[in-house]
Amino acid sequence: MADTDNGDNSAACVESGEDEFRLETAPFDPRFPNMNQTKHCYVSFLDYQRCIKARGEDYAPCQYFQRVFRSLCPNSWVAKWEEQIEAGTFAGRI
Amino acid sequence: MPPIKGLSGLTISSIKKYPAIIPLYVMLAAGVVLAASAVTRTLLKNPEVSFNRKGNPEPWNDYKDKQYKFFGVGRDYSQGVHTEAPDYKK
Repeated sequence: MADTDNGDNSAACVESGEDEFRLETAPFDPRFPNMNQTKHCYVSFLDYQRCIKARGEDYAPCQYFQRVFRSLCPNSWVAKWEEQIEAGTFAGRI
Repeated sequence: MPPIKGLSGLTISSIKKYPAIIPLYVMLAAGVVLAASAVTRTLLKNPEVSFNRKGNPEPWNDYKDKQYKFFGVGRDYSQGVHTEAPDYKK
């Protein structure tokens, strides 16, 4: 699990320098203490959509949720949910 | 020894005849109490269980700074816990 002391991380897989990559996954969240992180994935996706709805896509803290769900969710789920949002059939309350 | 009617061990007098049953009762009682308290704790404290669907639809948010699990295997809980998720609702 990621340590809490490197809190200035900017992205899940970013070029932070000339040729240095930093790979990291979602940090521990006491709201989702179980090994099964499915709910962490879904709630982060939901929180990201709510966050950009409330604050706009440029609000930097929203990126935290995006990093988490990109890391935890299967890509097919995210694609499906985004399709549903486009179609207006997404089940979550954004 | 005369035969006992019904299940032996369910009355005080028959327990006195077979005192070896007493530890079984003690363990049974302990198991019942343990199981009942585990279920009660799950119902009341689990971050995925909410009886108040309208007022608290997302019960896991109560655990932003709290520990639910008794033991943190491979994790140091002594410093306290906190979520790193930003609060965008303020």
